[in-house]
Amino acid sequence: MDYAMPRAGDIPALGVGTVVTAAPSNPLGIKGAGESGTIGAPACVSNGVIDALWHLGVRQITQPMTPKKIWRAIHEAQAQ
Amino acid sequence: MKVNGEAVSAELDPRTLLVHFLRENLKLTGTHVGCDTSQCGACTVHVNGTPIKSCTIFAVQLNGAEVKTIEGVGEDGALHPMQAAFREEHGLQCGYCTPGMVMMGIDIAKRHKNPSEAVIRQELEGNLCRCTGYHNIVKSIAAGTKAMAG
Repeated sequence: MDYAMPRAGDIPALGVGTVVTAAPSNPLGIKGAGESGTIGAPACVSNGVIDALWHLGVRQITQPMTPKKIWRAIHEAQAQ
Repeated sequence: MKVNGEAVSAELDPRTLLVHFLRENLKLTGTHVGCDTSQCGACTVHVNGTPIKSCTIFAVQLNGAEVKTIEGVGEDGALHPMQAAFREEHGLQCGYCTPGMVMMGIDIAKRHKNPSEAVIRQELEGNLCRCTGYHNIVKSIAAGTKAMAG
């Protein structure tokens, strides 16, 4: 495979909590959300990768974060 | 060979994988093909009581063996306790990895009386799921193990 697929041992038990602010626009206080919660995930992963490489001088990385791209980012940062 | 207790025989191209024999010849389509690298485990069946990946063995290698698929784990039309646990704990979303998870769960329960969450997660190294994040799968296997212990 071209990337590490998370397996059961790579993921912790998940806790789900809710913070409820009812929308004032309808009796149920609800809004349609679809899967908009997924929008933050790629940014979170990118920031995690940059954080992991920060001490090597890497300040930016773009997706797809292939091994080749990580390698190049590290070596370009080290060369400076 | 025997499949789910019934004797079966066929003349096959020797390159026929067990998973294709089960799905296409025997029409037992509960065993799934989920990858082409032997990593996903959606093809997991029991051969002589041991879970194996049916995508990585030729049917002809199992001449004389006893094979159990997901279709064969229940008895008398009732769900196997591990299947019932997956239903109770909602251990699936799309269901594609689920037969493999159940087959592996049954084996985990046979070898571990009271497995910790960490042990269950480690034992599922060979079963991938793209939908659930494994959370309810682990819960289901823990519950199924308790149920199988009676």
